[in-house]
Amino acid sequence: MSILKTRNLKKYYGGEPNMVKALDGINLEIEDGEFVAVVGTSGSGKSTLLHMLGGLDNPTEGIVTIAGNDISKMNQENLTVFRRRQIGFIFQNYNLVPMLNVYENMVLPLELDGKRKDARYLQQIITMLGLEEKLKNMPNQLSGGQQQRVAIGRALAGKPAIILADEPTGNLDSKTSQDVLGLLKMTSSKFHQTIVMITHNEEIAQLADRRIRIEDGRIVEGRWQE
Amino acid sequence: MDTGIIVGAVVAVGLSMVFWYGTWRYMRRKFVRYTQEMEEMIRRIQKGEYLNKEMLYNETLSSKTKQELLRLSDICRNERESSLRQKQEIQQMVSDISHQLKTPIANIVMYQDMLLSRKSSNQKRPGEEENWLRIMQSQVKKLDFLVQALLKMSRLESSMITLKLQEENLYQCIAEAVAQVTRKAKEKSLDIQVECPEETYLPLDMKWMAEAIGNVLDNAVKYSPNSGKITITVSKLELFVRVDICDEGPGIEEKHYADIFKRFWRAPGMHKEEGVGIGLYLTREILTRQGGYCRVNTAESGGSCFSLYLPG
Amino acid sequence: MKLDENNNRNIILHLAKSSVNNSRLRNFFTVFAIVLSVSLLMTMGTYTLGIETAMQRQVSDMQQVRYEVIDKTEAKKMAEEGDISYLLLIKQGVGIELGNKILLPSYYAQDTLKGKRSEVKLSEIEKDGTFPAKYEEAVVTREYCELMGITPKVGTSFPITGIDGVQEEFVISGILEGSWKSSGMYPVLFSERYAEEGRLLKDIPYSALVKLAGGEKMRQDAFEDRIVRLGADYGVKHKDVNPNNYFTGTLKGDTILAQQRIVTAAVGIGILFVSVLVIYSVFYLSVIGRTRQFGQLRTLGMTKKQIRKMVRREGMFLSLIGIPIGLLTGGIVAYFLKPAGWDWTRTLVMAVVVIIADVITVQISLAKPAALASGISPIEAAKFTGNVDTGKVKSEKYGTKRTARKGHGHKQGAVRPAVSGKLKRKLSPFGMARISAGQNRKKTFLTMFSLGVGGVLFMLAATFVVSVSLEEYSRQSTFEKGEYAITLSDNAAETSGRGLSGVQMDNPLNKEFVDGILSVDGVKKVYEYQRMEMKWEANGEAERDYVTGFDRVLFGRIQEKYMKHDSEVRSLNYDKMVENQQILILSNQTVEEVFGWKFKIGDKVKMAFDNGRQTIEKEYTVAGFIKDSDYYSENVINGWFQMPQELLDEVSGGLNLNDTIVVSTDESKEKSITPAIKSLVQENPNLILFTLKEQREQDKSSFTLLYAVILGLSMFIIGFSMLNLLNTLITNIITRKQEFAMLESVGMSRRQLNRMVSVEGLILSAGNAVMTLIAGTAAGYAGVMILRGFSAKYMHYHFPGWFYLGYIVVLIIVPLVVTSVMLRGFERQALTERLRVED
Repeated sequence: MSILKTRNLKKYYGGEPNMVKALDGINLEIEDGEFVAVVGTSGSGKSTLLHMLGGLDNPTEGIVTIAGNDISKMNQENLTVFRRRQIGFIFQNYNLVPMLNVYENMVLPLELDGKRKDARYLQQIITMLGLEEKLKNMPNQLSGGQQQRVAIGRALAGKPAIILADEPTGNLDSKTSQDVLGLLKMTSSKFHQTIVMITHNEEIAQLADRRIRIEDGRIVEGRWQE
Repeated sequence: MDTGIIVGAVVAVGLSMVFWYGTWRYMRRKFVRYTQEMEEMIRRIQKGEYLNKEMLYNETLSSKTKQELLRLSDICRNERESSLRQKQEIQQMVSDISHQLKTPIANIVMYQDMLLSRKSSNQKRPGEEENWLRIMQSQVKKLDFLVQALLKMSRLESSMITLKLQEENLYQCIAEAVAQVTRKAKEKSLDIQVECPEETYLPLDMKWMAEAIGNVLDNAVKYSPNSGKITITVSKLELFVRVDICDEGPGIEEKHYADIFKRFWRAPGMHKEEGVGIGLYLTREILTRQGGYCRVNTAESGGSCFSLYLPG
Repeated sequence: MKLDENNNRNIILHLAKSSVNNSRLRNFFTVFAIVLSVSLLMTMGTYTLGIETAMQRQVSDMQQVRYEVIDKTEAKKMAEEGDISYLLLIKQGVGIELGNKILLPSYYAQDTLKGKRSEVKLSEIEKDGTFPAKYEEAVVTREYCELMGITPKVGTSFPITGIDGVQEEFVISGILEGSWKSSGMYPVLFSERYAEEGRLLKDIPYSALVKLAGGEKMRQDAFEDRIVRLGADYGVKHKDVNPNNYFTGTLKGDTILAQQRIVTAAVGIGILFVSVLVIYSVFYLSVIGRTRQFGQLRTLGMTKKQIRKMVRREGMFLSLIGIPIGLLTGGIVAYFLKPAGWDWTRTLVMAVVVIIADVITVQISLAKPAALASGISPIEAAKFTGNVDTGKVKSEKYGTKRTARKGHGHKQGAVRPAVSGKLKRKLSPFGMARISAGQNRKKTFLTMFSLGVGGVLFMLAATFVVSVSLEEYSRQSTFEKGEYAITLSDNAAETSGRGLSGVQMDNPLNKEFVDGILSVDGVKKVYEYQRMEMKWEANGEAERDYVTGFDRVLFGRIQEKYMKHDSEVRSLNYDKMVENQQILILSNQTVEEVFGWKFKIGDKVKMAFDNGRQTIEKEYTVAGFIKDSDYYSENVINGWFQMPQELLDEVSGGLNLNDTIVVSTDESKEKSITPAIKSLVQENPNLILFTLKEQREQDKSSFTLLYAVILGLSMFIIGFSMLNLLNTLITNIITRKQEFAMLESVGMSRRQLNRMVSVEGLILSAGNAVMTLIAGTAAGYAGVMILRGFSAKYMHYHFPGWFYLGYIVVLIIVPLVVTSVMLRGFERQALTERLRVED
């Protein structure tokens, strides 16, 4: 069953004559539980694609369907609530809320939705991420790798339909990158979590079940599952 | 004056009763409507129908409940679909296996026929029979190897067995894996170097882990040039322990990085080498099941370098 | 709130709390602003209420009204009225001069006709004494005894010589409590029998001190109406109804009270307005500084509503801290300003009002920043501002919003509409500062504006201070033409037996005296002002008053002032007035206050003059009215009645009507003139000397207080402005830490950096200075003109140069100090560390 589908997704910036086609007709289908890497050079449109998939920005044209919901038709407020419940984000620069401690950061999406916390599930995540000792620390007391682990925890905590990871290891040294990637991989296999990861690094992309290559706003490889 | 108070009190009580009754009626109606809606949704899930996904994501309690129901329906559907997929996968595997078995069996049958027909005809050439028998023997060996591998794979794949994770010494595990390939390595006079702290205890399944490392080693031995060097390095990360296995072979093209761990995948142009493209697949499966992962890249020497990550 | 509303409110509270714990600087400024405004409001409000309370308490043991002339039997009947709660009969005789003191023969009934004696506080008799019972018994003050050399003991007998020279013997029955030293009057209390029969009191009518039941809760007009009717019922004329003005001043509907409250409220609203500006800009900057953070929260699924709520809650938390502190400080200050007026209930009510006002203020201030925060796009968080290598696609849509960050020219660089017009702009520290200020025009303008409001208010206050001409204020009326005023003593008039005319019959202000004054070296001119006492009758009232004359020239000047108005004075003719025996009425308004009616055109006024030789009775017709404010500068002595000089001459019979002379002198010779005039005046006990010098000193001390209040208030407002400036400067520097590090890394020296940031601050200061100069000058000028319109003729616009200069100095110093302190703080961190992105 496909959890994410895009049909003829287009995003243009600016107008003629110097219109930039960041995305130019993306058709994509991602299965439930799949770990997909979107690969492309800088400026290929992969980040724009992620923004569209996450409902952060509205496409110029086309449809994005996540877990059966056409998010390109939602209004801002519904989209926000949708994001909170169905999408987990992992960013290159972690994007933790500096004023909240590790635990609070992790449960923030749950709290924002007023949901009860599944203590056992959270404990499982925390153990997997090796954050038991750090729960009360503030983000600025953590290393980059640890911060990114918190971000993974945050993305997982809400049991989202899909996790979108934007260059999750872009800011990390090679050693911590391996940890973070391992955790993503584990997340994917252990929780059967759908993950879409954006990277420009082939070495990292090989960890995914499938690799989608994007160039100049078009998919050039890996549109469908082989 | 007293009557005024009494009348006032009666009116006040009456009004408040009307108010509370009205409020109660209103709440009750809302509640009934809400439960009916939920009931309807649950009934449809029971029937295996898919729920209408076009719901509003908004800041209401009912939206939250509905969403949880949707998730439940998704989970049910997923389970149905995944069991279906498993069935298909097993079918696919059976067909793959039978395809793999076909060649050696066909070979054996052919040489057997030739042997048998030879007996009736008298065109014998010296040593020819023995040669054929040798071929048959090698095919049977291959068959045996295949069956063994397929057995392992199917056991792993069909979740017939589970990995028993215990605190074990990774060093011993590596030693065991190296032992499996020592003979072949000696034949090619390869140098296998292991860099590992002797006491590296990790939660792992000794037997399967040795298999996983062994498969990579096997591969390395296979593609190493004579007198090449194979290094096994163990290093500790924050969350994972990494086992690097590097050889001096031809390496793997970057575009095939993701492919080599696939079932029955063999590097193009490598068909003459012994193997069925199952070893690395198994390695990946085993590692995944232990909460680890593996990847490959190219060493500076040009050979390939496999990294196995185990949660530490 | 909807029934089905999601139950996710707690996290917003939590986030707000955490955020409050995290941005100390903003908190400091916001809390400071709140504390400042709350404490100011609280002080002002509680103080104003305190004054009222103190007054109410003071008047609670005073009579509410005094019926000056009332018949004893009528008074007894009046006491039967249901709404009278207290009635005491008293008599107050004509004062007897004892040098510069006056002995006041009085009688206070021992028993009230109604109510307890203690309801109105009167001077009590010391313990060992008794109330005078016998005819010859009297109660005196200790000070009187001292003055007269009498032993202040019960039983001592002493004489009192009346105005008519007759001496009577009395025996002390008691001593009056309290210190009378500073008072000019020494009362002597007589017995009831003496009050009825004694020489000093028998001709004096009874007065009644009266309180109405529940009078303190009545409206002012209703109260006044009631006491007049009550009086009329028992034969008291309207003019003899003397309400206690202290008391009526505390009643609802009092215009002065209402005015005070309106002024207080207006100032309060002004303070709130200024604090709105401060809190608004503090939060505005705080929100801008947290753009990314809000973006993150939006990405994580925080709705706009939640973000808005969060920002508002932050404000509420800060209010929670600031309001109690402000209430406490304000309350304490108000208490010490007026301890007598402290009242818990009123203070609490005031506190509640202030709390509500400030909460509303904070919410108004936060509305815009909260909306701004909620409008932040989630993509802000996805954007990466640090590592240039990773180069991410940035869309123009959100690229322009973040003006402070300079985009790295990537693929989309071409579409940026915000291309600089020139290829290379001037990149000196000054030039860069200008570019930076220009990039954030709204922020810059906002800061300048809120700073400007403070500056304008400061200028307004400063203009007031420098524009008041104390000299002219002191010279108003009496001293307009001279520096000394010599006038006939009122005492002399009272004791002469024939009133003022009695004194004027042998007028000390005669030609000889004037010549004496003129002969003093330095005296330039002497102005003589005249008035004549008379008895008038009109509308059934009869009173003693004075009449003043005006000549043709003066009349011309008066008429001049009414040419533009629709007034009967315009068409009057001096000669016709003489011919038709017409007079003018000054301050008809006062007439209404005293008698309850006004003179009308054509009213006949009968006057009886005593010119020393004969008594002349005449009837005049009211021809017009003039306002006193138009007349003060013309004549230093004013009665209600003004008549042409010719008419006055008819009745004066050659009497020297001089009442006051004003001496114009060469002020440089003041040192020698004052003693000379003093000695001349002292020769005659019936003359009193007033000097401009004393007046000036008196005015100066009262204005010093006013200046202190005005400048103090404007200092507070400047405090708000400075708060704003500091906040802007500091936020500006902190949020651009990384940018500065980058500039340093590409070779900007610390001095250049310091100069650049300083110049940015100075641009703000300069804008503020210009705004203050233009708007402040305009406001100051307008303010002075308006005050002049309200007959504050002593105000002349002057530019408050020194104040402005001082303000500029502060405006220059603050950015320089802040910049260098902040940048020095950065130095402690390594450059590479600062270059890292910090979230």
